[in-house]
Parts: sequence; structure tokens; C-alpha cells
Amino acid sequence: MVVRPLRPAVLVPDEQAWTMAGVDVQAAGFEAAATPAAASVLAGPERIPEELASAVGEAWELICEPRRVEVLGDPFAAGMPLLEALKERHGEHAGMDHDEHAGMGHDHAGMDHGDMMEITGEPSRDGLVMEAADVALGPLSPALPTGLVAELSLDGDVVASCRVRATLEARRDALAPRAWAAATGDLIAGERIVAVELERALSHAAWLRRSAQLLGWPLLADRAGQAVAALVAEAPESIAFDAARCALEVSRRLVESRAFRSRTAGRAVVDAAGARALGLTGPIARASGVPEDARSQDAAYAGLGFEPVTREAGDAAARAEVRAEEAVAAVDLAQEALGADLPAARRSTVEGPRGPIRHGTTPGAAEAVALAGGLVIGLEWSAALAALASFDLSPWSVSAR
Amino acid sequence: MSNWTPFAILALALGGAWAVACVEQAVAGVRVAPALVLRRAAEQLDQPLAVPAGRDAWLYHLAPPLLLVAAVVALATVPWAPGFRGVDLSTGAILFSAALAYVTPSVFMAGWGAGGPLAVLGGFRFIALMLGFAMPLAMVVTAVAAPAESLRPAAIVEVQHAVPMVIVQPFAAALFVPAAMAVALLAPFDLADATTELEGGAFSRYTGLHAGLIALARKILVLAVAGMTAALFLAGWQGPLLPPAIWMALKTGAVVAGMLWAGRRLPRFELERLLVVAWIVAIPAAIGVIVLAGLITLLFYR
Repeated sequence: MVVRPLRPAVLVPDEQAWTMAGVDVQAAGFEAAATPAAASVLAGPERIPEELASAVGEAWELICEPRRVEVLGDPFAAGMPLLEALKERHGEHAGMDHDEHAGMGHDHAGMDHGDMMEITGEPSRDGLVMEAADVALGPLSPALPTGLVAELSLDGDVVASCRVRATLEARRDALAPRAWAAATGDLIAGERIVAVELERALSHAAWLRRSAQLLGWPLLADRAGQAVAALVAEAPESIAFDAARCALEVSRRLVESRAFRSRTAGRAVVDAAGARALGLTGPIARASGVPEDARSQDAAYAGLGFEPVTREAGDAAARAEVRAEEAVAAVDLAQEALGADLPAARRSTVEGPRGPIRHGTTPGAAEAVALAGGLVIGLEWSAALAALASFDLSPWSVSAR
Repeated sequence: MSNWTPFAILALALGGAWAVACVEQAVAGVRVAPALVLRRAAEQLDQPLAVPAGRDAWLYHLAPPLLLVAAVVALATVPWAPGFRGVDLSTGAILFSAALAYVTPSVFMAGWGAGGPLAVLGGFRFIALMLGFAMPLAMVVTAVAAPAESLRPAAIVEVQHAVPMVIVQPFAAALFVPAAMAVALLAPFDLADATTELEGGAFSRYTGLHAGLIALARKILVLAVAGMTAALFLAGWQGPLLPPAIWMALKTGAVVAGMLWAGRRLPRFELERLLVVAWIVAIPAAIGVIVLAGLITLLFYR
């Protein structure tokens, strides 16, 4: 349970990325603000990717005074110093340090961020002449992972067009750092399985929390947050597996709920043939009935009785179900692997939370980003966001385009 | 109504809003920090005002005070105790519904005036929602007024001396509470300002005094609808042993906590589903409730 009221903050990167870096943002006293205008803090890393510098600077400009910067850690261990990026953008207001207020004019605070409206007057699908509005979400939107941009055109509250793209250059995936390290490092089987499965459980729990927040369901967001808190631990031995499993089982109510299914069932469908043709991987492919999983070829996983989780429907609900079931299975696998005597085979391909990671690449990730936008056309706004979230896209290992 | 009544209502509005903020913290499962509520409010007032670039900026500036006036007028119609009945009009129950009717244009003005598509979408969502729920809200008020043969809220409280209206007219309560939550912009009806989904929606652009006024107005709205729920259905100030004002405060507090609790435990409703429920179920049911109220009045209250 959170013991004090949280402060709305512009989080750089998003809460999920901090979670994967082992930092509990809520324990630090922050929650993602709906807009920079609603925030009083910019909570970020010591260094940020250069590609985010401009967006971070814009967000800082829109945060009202009194405001401050909070440095929560250095998860990227590379990039441009955050404070330098802010100073560079506002050279005349240099001198911002941790907890130090900076002075800037605010006659336009809260305006011009992200979603400027442009009436285009395109005709509606139903024959009525409607005014379409263009919306740009990201790269620092609470509805999307940091670094992802969705450019949409709305016909009323229905998505008329949508294009999703990454704004980051391909690098080590901040949303799967341990799987990335396991694929490029030299871990023995037991360590690898524990690290990767715990990361999968953590990633899926963080995804459940984000989806519950998107659905406006604080109770289940809190429960998923409890699973996250149980899984964020420096040493696997100190993880409360039973607590994590219990919280994840409760969080699964989200994907089984009528409210979630009404937004996701039959939406953004990718069939098995389409998934194979596009080379999609991970939970997206498995939800379409393609049982491909790098763990299936791993003797160490076979020793633990691993079976891939699959569904046939290929819709947003199926992707959510796969993720929720995999989260619980991952906790079980990690707990079993901790005490098991496993074959010492090393592997260069690791099945991360979103698909395989092989030689520093993530096959299928770019294809998923390119595909997602087109599949939400025709959906009402809340259903479109739920469908987009069901892809659990990561912009970190996909080159900007 | 004495010369002091406006000041008493303003004091009640400010104190009540602070109390609602504290209950909100308690329901969210965080340590209640009453001083923090005031400090955050002071910080907010210290912020500069955001000025939209669009040509309808006057709507944007007018929306927060209009919302506040609507909330305070609604609060003023709530009878709190035999000696403090607020604006004790013979048509007070209708004035309550009429005041709440001004919430809809103020939310839409906020969204439209801001100019962002998600803010406008939030405004449109609220209009659609309230087109469906404003009518059942007003109709139910008429139904519970029937046994009292008066639209004076204090008279409706007094007619419940033997049995609270929630027992006599449970269907009316079942219609009133969701509609009241919707008009007070409470979750799971928070379609206008869905935080993550619409990035704050209709109110996303406000800062400084504007944001402070909106936050205050929303809390007063919650207090007003909870107070009126307690008055119309839970026999208001009536109860044994304790002073009337304490009974009213306890009942109102319980309704506020219940509404906020429900909002945390239920996912946000979909607009389409809500509209189907409102137009196909709630409005016909409200007509049925009025007919039933007439029968109950003839059989048991004459």
C-alpha cells in the first residue's frame, strides 16, 4: 500500500521503463501526470537518450512553477545529461539543479502539448459531414510507452487513421534489460531462466498495471502494482513468489472483465497467417495461434516442463490473456529454476517479454510497431487505446522512422 | 434564510471540500494528510494561468467560475439541519436539479475553450452522458417529493421520520445515485476527464487559479450530491441520540465515501454502454418510479 499521496510528475521514461530498471516510481512518491500542466515535477534519469531531449525540454517548459527536477537513477548509463538537455533548451534559464526551481514564463502553460487540434473537414464514414481532428500522442504520453508516437485522425470519437512510429534509435531495450543482457552475456542456464522469467513476470505485471490505469480501474492497478512491488528485488532469492503469484492472479481479473473484453474482444485482429507472413513474434504471435517461442527449443526449459501459452483468436483480448497467463507461468518457472539442477547449455537467443532477442536484435518488434496503427482504425477512442496497448510495443529496439 | 446564510454556505462549501479531499485520500488507501490538501491547493494557486490560443478563450475562462457557481447553488439547496436548511425554497428540489444542469455546459465550455481535440472529446462525452442521465435525475427527485407533497427538501426529510425513502423507494435510489455520480464527474463515470485515456480531457489545460476553482467545484459537487442523497433517501438529519447536524454529517460522509469507494473498485464505463442503459433502461424506469411513487403516496402517505 502507498503510504502517502503521490505527486503528479512528468515521468521520463514512463513508469513501466522505470519498473524494468528496478525503480519503483510510486515508492519514490510520484505518479504519471495526465499532462505536463498538471505536474509540478519532472522525474527523470541522470542521462536521457538524445532523441528524447527535445520532447523532455518541451514538457519541462509546460510544467508550471514552482517546479523541480528529480533524478531517480541512471538506467540508460549513456546519453545526454538530463539537466544539460534542459539548460540547452532554455539557456537563459541555466542553473537548474536537483530540487531547484527554475524560472520561466508561462503565458502559454499547458498549451501546444501533443494534441493540437486541426479541423480538416473530411467526410465521415457514415455519410455525415464531420470535422476530423488530428491528434498526436507521445513521445511522452501517459497512454503510450515513452519514445512511441501515435499520429491519429479522429472522426468524432472514432479513429479514422492512425500511424504509430518509434522516435528512438535502436539500442538496448530499456523495457527488457535483463533478457537483453542474457542474450548477449554469458549466463548459465539456471541464472538465465530465473533472470528472464522474472523479467517476463515483471514486464507483464507492469503491462497489467498500465492497462488497468488506462481502463480507469484503480483497484486492479493497485493489485498489479503489488505484483510489481513483489517482483522488483535485487536478488531472486528475496522475491516473495507467493505474494507475486497471488497479486498476479487477482490482476488477471482485468483481462477477464466485461469492461476490458468489450473494448478488446474481436478488435485489432491478427490471424495466424498474417502473423507468420509479417514475422511477428512473442505474445502477439502466440495469441494468433503461432506457438513459436525460443524457449521451446531450450533443453533447460524442457526440463522444467515448459509449454508455450497460446490462443487462437488473435485479437486484443487474446494478447492480453496470453500475457496474463504467461506472467503467472513465469513466476512458477523462475521459482522452479531457482532450486533446479539444469543443463549448462548457453544460448544466444532468449525469449524476452515481447519476443526473441537474438544477437542484439529483436525480430518482429519493428513489424509490430508498423502494424499496430492500421489495426485500430474504425475503433472508438477508448477501444483504440486498449487495442494499441494490447501490442505492448517497445520503441527502444526499433529504429526511428 | 438569514443574512448569514450565504456566509454559512460558503464556509460549508470550503470546509466540506477539504473534508471530501481527506475522504478521497482515505478511500485511495493513502495516509490522510489534511495539511497536505491545503498546501497543494496553495501551490496550485501560485501557478500562472494558462491562456489558450483559440478564438473561444472566453469560454475557457468562464467555465471554472460557472462550474463553481453551479456546485455552490446545488449545495445551498441541501437541508443540513432543522435550523440550517440552506436556501429553503418551496421548489428547492427543482433548484437542485436546475443547478446541476449548469455543470454540463461548464464542462463542455472547458473542453471546447481549451481547443485540444482530446479536451473537446471530453466535453462532448459529458454532454452525451448528461443528455441521458439528467432526465432520470430530475424525475427521481420528483418521485421522492411525492410522499411529502412538497418539493421543499426539508419537507422530504421530515416525511421520512418513520421510514427512510431508500426503503420505500429503492428503485428511485438505484437510479439517483449513479446519475448523481455522473453529474459530479466521479469514477466510474469520469468520461470527461479520463486521466490516462484523454490525458486529462476537458480540464487538462487548466493551471493556477482555474485549476484550483475546478478542483474546489468538483469537491463541492460531490458534497452537494452526497448531501442531497442523504436528505432524499436516508432521512437526512433524522436519527436517535445524536444532534441532527451530526446525523446529517455522518450520512453525507458515508455517501461520499461510498461513492468514492465504488469509483476505485469499478472500471470506467464505456460511453456507448452507458447511453444504452440511460435511454433504454434508466429513463423508462424513472417514469415507472414516478408512477410507483404516486401509488405509494396514495396508499401509505394520505
